[in-house]
Amino acid sequence: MKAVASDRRIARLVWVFCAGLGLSGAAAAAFPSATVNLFWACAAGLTGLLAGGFLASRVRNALAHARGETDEAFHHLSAAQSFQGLDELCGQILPIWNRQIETARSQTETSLVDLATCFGDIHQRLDAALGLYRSSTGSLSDGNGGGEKDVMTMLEKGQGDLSAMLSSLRAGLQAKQEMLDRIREVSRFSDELKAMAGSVSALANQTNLVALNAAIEAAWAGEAGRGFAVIADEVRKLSTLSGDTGKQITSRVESVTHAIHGAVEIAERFADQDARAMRDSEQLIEGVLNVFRGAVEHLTQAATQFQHEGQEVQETVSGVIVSLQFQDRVSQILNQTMGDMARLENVLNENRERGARGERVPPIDVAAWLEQLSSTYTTLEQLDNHKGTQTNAPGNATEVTFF
Amino acid sequence: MAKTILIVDDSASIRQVVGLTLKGAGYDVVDAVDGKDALSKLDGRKLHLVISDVNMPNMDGISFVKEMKTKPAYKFTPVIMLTTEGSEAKKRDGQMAGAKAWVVKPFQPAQMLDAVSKLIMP
Repeated sequence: MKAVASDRRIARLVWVFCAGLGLSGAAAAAFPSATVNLFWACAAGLTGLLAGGFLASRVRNALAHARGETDEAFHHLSAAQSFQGLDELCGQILPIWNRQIETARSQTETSLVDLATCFGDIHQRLDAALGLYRSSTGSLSDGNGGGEKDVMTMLEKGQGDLSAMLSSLRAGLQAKQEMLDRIREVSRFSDELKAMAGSVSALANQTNLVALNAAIEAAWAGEAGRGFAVIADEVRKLSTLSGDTGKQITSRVESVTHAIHGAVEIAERFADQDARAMRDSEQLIEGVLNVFRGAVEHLTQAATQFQHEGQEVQETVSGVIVSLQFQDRVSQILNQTMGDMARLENVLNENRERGARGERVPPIDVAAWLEQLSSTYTTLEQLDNHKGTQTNAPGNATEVTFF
Repeated sequence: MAKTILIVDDSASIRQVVGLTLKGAGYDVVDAVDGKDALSKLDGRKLHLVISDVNMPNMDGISFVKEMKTKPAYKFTPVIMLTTEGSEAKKRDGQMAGAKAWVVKPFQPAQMLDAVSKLIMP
């Protein structure tokens, strides 16, 4: 507004100056011949007025144009002053930013490698522990019941072996029972022998009595019966001997019978003990097998649980392996950004050198720059970021394509 | 005798996690930091499979696979490309170079092992 008012003042002065010239011309012409040149004097004054107005208008326009150019030059100067040092700043700050990003990227990579090494160690130790556990428990559980089946088969085999042993013991008891029956039969024979020995003794007594009567009769016969008396005496001796033998037989039979009865009694007592032992053994074996079954079942449950937990940990480690790969994507994004910053740094350096040599500095083609930038992207996140649809989530779907 | 797999990736963490996955499955692992380094590992040793990144300094994965396929000893060694790239154009480049599979990071260990078991040389 101030500039416009000044322009108007200047134009007004020019107009007054020209008008003055016109009026002066008119007056000069009027004095020598006021009547003849009055028309021309008036015309000159009018022309001076018109010329002064036109000239003032042109001067005002010229001044306005000059003012516009001055303003534009002033704005350009302000912009140049604003950007002054920017290229130098970029030349210095871009390498610093680059180094900072590279430091962060390399530190992340180092940490991730260490982390991956630790998880690898955990994974291998877990595998080793699971393998050791499987081998030490004899494949109690292989995850699908196979190991448990093996153990139950082993248990059933043990039970079968013990049953076979019990059958052998029962067969032994049966043999003992048969032997006892035989002994009882022998015991019955001993009674018969005892009776027979009694008969022998009775027969000897009768024979002795007959021999005694014969001796008496021989004595009655006198000399003629002397020989018969000798025979009767011998018969009596024989009968006495037979009687003694019979007594001895009876005695021996009684001893044998007593011994047999004792043996039978002992055998029967042992048979009862064996039967009780057999029942106790069966119960004991069944009890042991039940305890073993319970232990196996418990152990199998523990093994299954351990197996399950181990698989869970392995799946977790697998998830960690997937997550650890984010560093590669981060590294690629940072590397690509660093590369573009380096490209900008180079362009600015080249332009500065051109400017220093007095050469024309070409403008940066922003569209071409962005197109080249987008052509170097390798991840979907980079494209999204470029389009302004920023995403922080890396692709999580593994894609395998076979050719 | 464990089978040997060459891992080529400029990212140490990726080499670590791939190695961890493969060693856990009983494979032997050799690693290289880029294509040029990987070529120096093709010294006649028996390799049953190669897993390579695509974008690497010095020599990228596609160039490495092409170079590897010119060597008679490794002409038929199967290659899995493991990369963040998922564009069809890049996949075609990999296929043309001689790769047998393309796995996009991040990979699932089970899927990686499945791909390895399908492609690895006997």
